[in-house]
This record gives sequence, C-alpha cells and structure tokens, in this order.
Amino acid sequence: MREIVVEAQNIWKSYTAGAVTVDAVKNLSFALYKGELIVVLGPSGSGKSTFLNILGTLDRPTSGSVYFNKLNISQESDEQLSALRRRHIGFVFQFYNLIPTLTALENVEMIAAHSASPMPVEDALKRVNLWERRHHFPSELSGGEQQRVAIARAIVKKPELLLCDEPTGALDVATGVIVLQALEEVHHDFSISVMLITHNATIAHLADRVIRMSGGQILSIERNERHMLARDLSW
Amino acid sequence: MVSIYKLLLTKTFRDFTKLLGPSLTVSFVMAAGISCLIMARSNLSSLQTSQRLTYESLNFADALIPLSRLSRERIAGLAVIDGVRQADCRISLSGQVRLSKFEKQISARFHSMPRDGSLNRILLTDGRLPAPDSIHEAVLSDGFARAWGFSSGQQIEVFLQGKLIRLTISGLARSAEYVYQTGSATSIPDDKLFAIWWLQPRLLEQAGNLHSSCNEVLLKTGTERNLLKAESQLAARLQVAGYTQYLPRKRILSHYFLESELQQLRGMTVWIPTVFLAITAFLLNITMGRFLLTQREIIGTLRAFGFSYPLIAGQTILLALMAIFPGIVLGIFGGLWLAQEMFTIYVKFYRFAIVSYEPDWSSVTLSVAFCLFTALLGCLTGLRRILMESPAVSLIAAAPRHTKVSAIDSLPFLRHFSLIARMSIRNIARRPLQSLVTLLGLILSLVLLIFARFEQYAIEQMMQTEYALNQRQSHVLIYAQHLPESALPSVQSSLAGGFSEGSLALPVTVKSAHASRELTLIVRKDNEFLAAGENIPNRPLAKGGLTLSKSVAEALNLHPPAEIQLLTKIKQTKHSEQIVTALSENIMGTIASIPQQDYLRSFHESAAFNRILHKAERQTGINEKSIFLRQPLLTGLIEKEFERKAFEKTMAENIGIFQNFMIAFALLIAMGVLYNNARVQFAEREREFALLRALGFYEAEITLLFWSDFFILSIAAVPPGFYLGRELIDRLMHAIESEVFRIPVNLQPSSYIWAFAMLLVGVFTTAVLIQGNLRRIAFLSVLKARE
Repeated sequence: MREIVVEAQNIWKSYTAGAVTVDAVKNLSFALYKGELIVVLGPSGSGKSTFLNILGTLDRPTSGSVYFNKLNISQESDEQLSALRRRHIGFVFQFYNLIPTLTALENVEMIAAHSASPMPVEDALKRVNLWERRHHFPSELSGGEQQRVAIARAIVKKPELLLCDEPTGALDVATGVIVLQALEEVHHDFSISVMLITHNATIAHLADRVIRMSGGQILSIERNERHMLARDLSW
Repeated sequence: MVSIYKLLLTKTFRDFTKLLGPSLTVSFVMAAGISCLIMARSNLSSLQTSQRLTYESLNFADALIPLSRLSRERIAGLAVIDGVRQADCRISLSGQVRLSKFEKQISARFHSMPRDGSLNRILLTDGRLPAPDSIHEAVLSDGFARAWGFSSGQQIEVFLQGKLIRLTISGLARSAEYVYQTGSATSIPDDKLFAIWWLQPRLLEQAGNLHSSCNEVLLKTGTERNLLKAESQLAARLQVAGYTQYLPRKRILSHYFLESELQQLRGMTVWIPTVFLAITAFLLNITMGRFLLTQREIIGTLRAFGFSYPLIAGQTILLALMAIFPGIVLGIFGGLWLAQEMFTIYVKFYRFAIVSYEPDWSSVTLSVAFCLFTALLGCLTGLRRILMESPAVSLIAAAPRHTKVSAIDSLPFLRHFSLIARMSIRNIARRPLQSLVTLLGLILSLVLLIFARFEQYAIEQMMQTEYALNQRQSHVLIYAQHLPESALPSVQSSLAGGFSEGSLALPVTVKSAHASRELTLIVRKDNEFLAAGENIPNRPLAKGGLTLSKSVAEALNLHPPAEIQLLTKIKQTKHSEQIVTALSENIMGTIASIPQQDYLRSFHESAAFNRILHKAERQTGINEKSIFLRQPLLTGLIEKEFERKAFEKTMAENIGIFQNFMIAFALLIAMGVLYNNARVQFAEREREFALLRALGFYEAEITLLFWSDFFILSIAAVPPGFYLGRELIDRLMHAIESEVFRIPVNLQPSSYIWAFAMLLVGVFTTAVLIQGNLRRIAFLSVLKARE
C-alpha cells in the first residue's frame, strides 16, 4: 500500500466579512501519496490556493482535519506548524518571494542553515543551472531565474512535500517551461511529493493525478493518462 | 450637494487617525523640546523676578560693614559721603537656640529690628512685630519656625553672648538678606539648624554692651562704582569704630549663593533648550517630509481628478498641523507644569519674601512658532517633491528599493557575518537617508543620556572630593577669633575622644597686576592629617609658596610661578608678596593655601588657629551642647555627615527633575526615530517577513531579523554618540562654570555603559510596541500580492 504524506478529511474553510460568510473550501477530502505529482486546476476563486495553504499549514481549516505523515496537525500551535514547515515542506510562490537583500546563494543558504540534513547549496543551485549567477541579488535576475532560485531554495532541505502556487503564472512560456523542467527533475530525482496549482490546463500533463476544483469543492480527481515531459509542453 | 471642502476635511480627519502613531511619536519629541525651553526660561524668569521684588521691596543693602562699636549718632555722617545714598546701622550678634528635644547645635543670628524705611527690612508672614517696649518679644525667621512647627506666641530659649534668654515669638518673617538661609558655619541651608531673630535693640544692646551704639552699618550705594568711590571716606570715618573691611552685596552669603545659582541657570537656559530645540527641529523636519510621502498616492489621485494645488496644499498642511498639534499642546502645558514644579523646588531653598511665578510667554510663542515653521518647512518640502512628479507617477506606489551588488559586498569582513547581519547591513545601505536619520536620532539620544548621567556623576564626584577626600574630619569647630596654638591642647581635651587638629582659615584678597579676588586662605601645617589634600586628584599642594584655585588663577591671568600680593584684614590690613607655585582644581569655592612657616614669616604672626578639625570616635560622637557650654568662643560646629546628607538631598531634588526630564527626552528621541523607521521598514519588508514565516521561521527569529538593523544602528551610534556627548558636556560645563563653581569633566566608563544600556531600554521598548505588527502579518495575502 502506498504511503500517504498529507491528507485532508472533510475540511471547510470559511471567511466572515461583516454579515457575509464565504466558504472558500467546502467539505474537501484528499490524500497525497509519497512521490506523487498532483496538479490542481481551477479558475480564480475556486479555492485551490486556500486548499494548498491548508495542506502547507499556512492556514487552518475552519473544520475538518489535516494529517501529515499520519499525524493530526489541525490543532498544532503556530510554533509547531513553523517547525513542521521548516523540516518537511517546501514552497514555490507565483511571485518568487526571494529575500531582496540576500544574493541567490544566500537565499538558498538561509534555508539550508535551518535544515536538519540539507543537500549542498551548490548542488541545489547547479540543479537549477544558476550556480554561475549565485552572487547576484534577486533584482539582478530575470523572473525565470528568480523562480529557479526559489525552487533551489525549496528543495535544498530535501522536503517531503513541495507546494507550488502558480509557479509559472508570472512567466512567459519559454521561461515557464524551464521552471517546470526544474520542478520535474527535482520531483523525479528526490521522489518529492509535489502539489502544483495552476489555472493553465496544459501543465496538467505533467501530473500523476489531476484535481479539478470549482466553488471550493473538488469536481473530479483523474489519473493523467497522457503524461508528458515539461520540455514538450507549450501554451 | 455635499461641499468639496467638507469632504476634504472629513478625509483629512480620517487620514489623521491612520497617522496617529507617527504623529504621537513626533509629538512627544516636540513636547519635550518645547517644554524644556518653557521650563528653563519660566523658572529662571520667576527666580529673577522674585529676587528683584524681594530686594526692592525690602530695601536690601548694597554693602554691610561689620564694626566693633559705632555710636548711633554718627550714622548720619555716613549718609553724606559721596556715593552713599542711604546709611543705617544695627546690632548683629551670634548665638544659639536651645531646644530640649534636639541634641544638635542650632546657630542663631540676632538683629536689631529694622525701622520703617531703613535698609534690610523684613516681611512679616505671620503674627506681628514686637511691641516697642517689649524686650523679650522677637520675630523669627519663618523657615526655622516652619521646620520646627513653631508659631506666634510660643517661647524659645536662646543663648545670647553666653546668657540663656527666653524669647516669645511675636511673628514670623522673611528677609532679603536670608533668601538662602544658611549660617556662617555651613554652606548648605538647613532650616532646622539656623535661626534668625529680629528684636527691639534694647536686649541686644545689653547683651553686646552696645548702649546707644551698633556694630553693623548697612549701606545703599546703587552701584558698585559708588561703593568704591565711598570706600576711603568710609574707612577713615569708621576707623575708630573698628573698621577693617566692607562686605559688598556679592559677598553676602545668601546673595552669593543665589547669584551663583542664577548664573548657572542662565547658562543652562541658553544652551540646553537650544540643543533640545535643534534636535526637535531636525526630527520634525525629517518626520514631516516622510509623513507627506504617506500621502503621495492620495495627492496623485487628487491631481488626476483636477484638484487645484492650493486645495491639495491646504489639506496637506492641515494634516501636518493636526499631526503636530498634540505635541504643541503637550509641550506648552508640560513646560508650564514642569516650570512650576521646578520653581516650587527652588523656592524651598531660596526663601524669597515675595514669590512670583511668571510663565515666560515669550518662550511659549517662540517655541510654538519655531515648531510650526519647522513642521511647515518639512511638509512643504515633501509636498514640492511630490508635486514635481507627474500625477501618473504619484498614483503608483513607490517600488521598494532594489539591492544590487555594491561596495559593501566587497568588504572582506562581510562574508564572516551571519546571514541576518548581512541582510541588515545591506538593508541599512539601501536606505541611506532613512538609516542616517535613525542613526542621528540614536546618536542624539546617547549624547543626552551621557549628559544626564554626567550630572549625577558630577554630584557623586563633588561628594567624594568635598566630603571624603578633602574633609576627613567628622566635625569642624569654628571660633570667633584666632586662638594661640598653646590653647589647642585644652580645647582638644574638651572634645573627649577622637583625633583633632587646629587649623587657620582667613579671608584674604589676592591681587595681581590688573585684578583682585577675595577668597579663603588655608594655612597648612607640615604634620596635618585630616586636612591633608594629597589624595585629591588635580590638587597638588606646593611645599613652598602659594597654591591657588585654578579658576582664580585664570581670572587673574596668572601662570605659575607668578608673583602676587596677598592682603589679610584681621584687626588691621597686612600685605605680603607671594609666589604662586601651584594651581589646584576646585569644584566648589575658591581657596588659596600656604605652608604655615611661609605665612608666619610673611605676616609676622605667631602660630594660631580658628578652626578645629575633629574626627570623632564612631561610637561616641561628640556632645555638641556641652562643647558649646564649655567653649564660649565657639561660634559654629559643622557635622560633616549631616552636611553631606543635606547636600545630597538638595542636589537630588534640584538635579533630579532635570535629569529625569533629560532621560525621558533622550528615550523619546530614540523611540521616536526607531518607531517611525520601524513602521516604514515594516511596510516595505512585510513580504520578506511573511515569506520567512511561510518557510518555517519562528516569530522570534523574524523579530531578531527585524530588529537587527536597529541594533546595528545602535552600535554604530556608540562612537559618535560618546564623542559628541563628551564634547557637549565640555562645552556646557565651560559655558556655566564660574570662579566658584567648576566641575571637571571626567567621565567614567560606567557613565558610557549606563547611557548605552538606557538606549537599549528604549530600543527594546519600541520593539515591544511594534511586535504586534509582526505577530499579525497576514502572510497569505502578502505572498499572493505582486511584488
């Protein structure tokens, strides 16, 4: 039987603004297996980012439970969740979110320094082909390069779970493909479980399974029958 | 239709509520600057007015001449001397008060009652004047009466010329002559230990054997020049009455201390508020400029919709005025309140007959105008910068500054620093102006903290020098006249236990080629122990020749070795040429000292003493009352420990309020610049902190990162802060020093450490204030937003 890395059971997430309550996620259940790459598709406001944030412990469900490595983390304290993210979870954001006052090398070093058994920083940066640009600050790198630094930063601690929120959303097609290639490689080489959310249906060809969301609910979970490599994608 | 002005006004008020934090921080700094000026000037002007009114209303004499005996009939002859406007005479005798419940010696001065229109009148604060035919009724100084709880009608026993007399208090009074109410034996006022009595002359005539005579002449001359003009004629006419010298007003103890205090206050009133207001102006200007930048996009929008420049400028200026309004109000009311508090403390020590608290409205107007001008200047400068941009540019939020590889990254030591330190250093470098302002604020804060600490240290230093090193005796006994050295053993034996030595101290005049000064000459014995000054830093004592206070030497333009003329006025005037061989640094008072053999040879005197320095045995102490009974020539007795405590208390009250004010101001500056900087930093770096939280960094780690910039700036503020602090103290001490009061600037490492520790308290307090913002980072929305 395959090992579950993270699992959501009947989670709801509601936001209240004055008299209005909006359910961003409704009664959602799902399990992500070790070494699996999942793509979550859905239009804006479908709840996919909220779903990812809850799985990544950046947000708490209003009700329901989240299990990480079979441990119920729904009631953990902020500090315990921080420790969990530090050890086990990597993030890649749409707008890169690099530290502007640290060079590419230092951005990765910063995470490596806080990890129990990180890979060499050089390996992480070479894997995304940025070793030569390691002494540049984020403002001196292109969008694609910044996102690849973000990937190096996410994988340097060898996370069990890599969560990518629209990683190509701010990039052109060519650059986006390069970033996806980098993600594909690290997923393959380190057997990291990856959840990638996007509104770009083409990217779903990378996935083992594809989740379609709308109105805060999962419409379908499908196994990807037409698996493609990142280099063959175009949109 | 709603008026556009009303809408803009509503908008401005709402904008103001959002800017309450920065407004309050700059307001506190402004309030401190304004209140400092108002406090200092109102206090000084109140003291000066009270002094003037007291002197004028009570007709305070310009000079006093102590005599042995002068027939009252001859006083009219003095009034016609050229330069003399009014001449009066009175009887003045010394004595003691005896209180059964109190063991210590209480000195007393008895004066014959001044007549209507005469000099040195008194002002009754309670009761009435003694009846003309009553010889045992007397008016008592109200300070002494209130200290002991005496009131009119009560009886008190006094020793007058060795006789025990019971006096009935007819009333209480104050005098211009005793504003600073201290006896001759001690320089520290203590209401419980010094009483002044005014009574009908008959009793004093009997006690002093002065029938139809007096022993003190009071003169009104108007100017010192008139006094000098009259001096020779006065000396000639009063020769037979025992004239040796006159005491100009400046040498009358009360006036001397009061003027010395006012001189210091005048110096401080100019310098310290200037420093405070300069700091306020600097911070206000910078803050208002930054304040305006928060309005940049709003101003861009208003311009895009075609609002006129005057309308935009009007609402911006209104916002700026609202921002500084709390500071102005707080500064004025705080300053007036502090001035009154300070003046209340002063009038405890300076007992003016007429107390007049006068708020200095010119300083209120000046400080408000100054702050308004500075704020408007900062505001209009910021506004001009925004209006120089096209509306399209102003509409877009200013992008955060980018970090690029710079010279800082090539510094070899940078790579040895932690990542957090590297981030902070680069962050400081990419906002040079903002960092510089924060740094300057921290430097100024340190400067003021060092100064505040120095005041306390200076007092400790005075105490150490004056009461521990300089005066190793426990008591000083002061005699009415010089006693021969041969009388010393019998006097010593009456002290029963402990160790004592005789000493001679006499008033002298030191004359150089162009100037002269009056001071006390200490005659030093070879084998002295209690008075030996070898332990005191900067006070070398020459083996031969005259040792002179440095401040006097500077005033006389003397550089040792230098020849001077020394005049003594005991019984008759004697003078001798002396060589000044060494200078000593005196904190309080001016003295000269000379080895005994040089003094005896130069003035053809025989060995004598007029003071006994006594170190009592710790357990037994000395019985003051019995000593006075056994030694009729004893006029004063000072217990050093008692005087030290009184001095400490006086200084603690006087300095305490100002020191606390300065510490508060320093911390406000530090917290003001840090808080404003922190808010800007937080706005610009929220994404960075949110990201780190998302990546698993703990809140404490983010806090450390956020505050590491400020700790680095605090460390960077240390060298210039310490240097400028020392410079400020040097300059201020130089500005307020006088010949009789000089504090050597000798800062200890502990002062610097204390100042830095206090600064860190300010840094931590601000950290706590801003911590809530870090805790509340909405990292999900921040991370989803475009950079």
